[in-house]
Amino acid sequence: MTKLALRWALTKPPTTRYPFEPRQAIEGSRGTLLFTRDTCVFCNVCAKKCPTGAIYVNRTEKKWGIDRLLCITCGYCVDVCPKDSLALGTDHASVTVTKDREMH
Amino acid sequence: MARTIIPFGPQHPVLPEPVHLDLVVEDEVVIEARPSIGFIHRGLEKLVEKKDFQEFVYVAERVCGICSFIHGQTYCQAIEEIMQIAVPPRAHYLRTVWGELSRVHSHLLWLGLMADGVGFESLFMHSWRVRESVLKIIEATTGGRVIFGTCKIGGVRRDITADQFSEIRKQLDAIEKDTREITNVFLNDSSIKDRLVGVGVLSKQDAYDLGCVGPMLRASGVAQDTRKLGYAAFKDLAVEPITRTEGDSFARCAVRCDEIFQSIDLIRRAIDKMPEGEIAVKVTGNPNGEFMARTEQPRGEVVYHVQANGTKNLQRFRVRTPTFANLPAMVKTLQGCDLADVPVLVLTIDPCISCTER
Amino acid sequence: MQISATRLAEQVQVTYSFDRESHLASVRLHVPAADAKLPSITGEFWCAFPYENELHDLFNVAVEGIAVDFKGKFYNTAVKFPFATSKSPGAPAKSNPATAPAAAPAATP
Repeated sequence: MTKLALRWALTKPPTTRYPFEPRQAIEGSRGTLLFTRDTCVFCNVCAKKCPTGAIYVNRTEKKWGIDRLLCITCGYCVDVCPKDSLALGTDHASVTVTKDREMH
Repeated sequence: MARTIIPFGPQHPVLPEPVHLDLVVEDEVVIEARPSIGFIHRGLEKLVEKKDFQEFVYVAERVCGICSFIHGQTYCQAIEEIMQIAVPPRAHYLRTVWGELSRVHSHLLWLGLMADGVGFESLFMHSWRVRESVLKIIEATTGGRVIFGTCKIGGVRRDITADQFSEIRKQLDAIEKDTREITNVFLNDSSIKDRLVGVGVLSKQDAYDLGCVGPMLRASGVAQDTRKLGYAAFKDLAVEPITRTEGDSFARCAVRCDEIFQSIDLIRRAIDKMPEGEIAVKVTGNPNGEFMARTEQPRGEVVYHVQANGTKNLQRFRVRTPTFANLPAMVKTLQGCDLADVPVLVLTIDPCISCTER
Repeated sequence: MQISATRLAEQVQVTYSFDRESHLASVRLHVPAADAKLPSITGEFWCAFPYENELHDLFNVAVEGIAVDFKGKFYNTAVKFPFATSKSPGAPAKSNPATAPAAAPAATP
């Protein structure tokens, strides 16, 4: 243990000094859900497939909303969207202070 | 010689999850321990009445954070056996790779907790530093660090490309080298040996009678490993259970250290033998029947008893987790120990209380 | 070994499973739901006490003579006997024949 301790006392720490150093996003990780409004046809399949019920679709008024705090970034909606309007980005969810839905 | 009752938990720096023990103590020797659980009871077994069986994979994964992938895998295996679905071989191998990665990260987590339990905080940080490299591999291949979200009924949701495999191999070499350094400290350092050797001895007959599973059982000399049943890719990858005969906490620590190397070796063998093909089959219809699926989690054998009656909700979903099976052994070893050994003994069964009370 | 229970419409179905060297054998009993009572097996299998306490705390099945009896304090839940009501209809599912080593039905207690 002494060898290990001495070696690590003299090397740079392996942690990133976030937020002074930028965070290295890992490709393929499931971060926030990204929605492209232009290609969406409001078919409602994503809302039906969502296991937590985080997505809200209103076909007549052409509204799409997501409750970010309920979303578990499982990616079911991304798999079933017929128009590829949904994708999972690699950033973590941003901080909110209210519990409303984000409407598009 | 008065007896006092000291409450241990639910909040304690050494415990990873809340469990309550009432320790009846006479002059610093514990006479009896009475556990009391129910702090993380989320009623997951009753959720089957509301969620349909395909969505329930997500709930099954979230029974526990540390052993989450294998919970999802066992649930999928149970439903696949009921519905007689033939999962493609590549999916079996991918599930095995992720399952063994899960085992490596869980044992490294436990090593860190045990080091913290005996007061060795810098060794705790080193174990978790090595665990970070494992979590990075998992995040790159599945998308999540703790909850993988890749198992589904009929196969897996994501594939691993050949580039990712060669990256995983390089990382595994580095992980193996770092882990060897850390396990050398665990097995040879005199202060750790003072705390662990001879503490909580379970004889072979006792371990068998008390219904222990996992490393608790294997450290007392019983060679039983559920991976020998041959689920997933274990039909082709032979696994020899690692056993020790002393039955004390040091033996359990050594069994877990050796299991990390065994898992790294298994991952390498699985990557070598990975077959080509598709990764999932389509699932239609509802399950009807019952099955008991058993797999080997890092903590022992988990039994999933699933009953389905032809509707899209299951009738009964019952999880018997390894920590629940190791509870009698913990109560038995706590009788007669010193008060200072209580954290070591509680950690040596590798308690995962969120598994115990789903 | 383990004990698993399902609450059906009129009965509680209790399955005792035993394991020896990775072979699993099960015994199943049906107990009427109102005023359910069972004798304890902790005389032969001391390690069954958590399962029997759980049977009592969650399903309201009175198990007599448990070696380490917590008298209802094992599981601290907000609602007493949370699994004691059931929405699912009568008979259990038919046993899948491919699972013969897993569930071997036998009746008498």
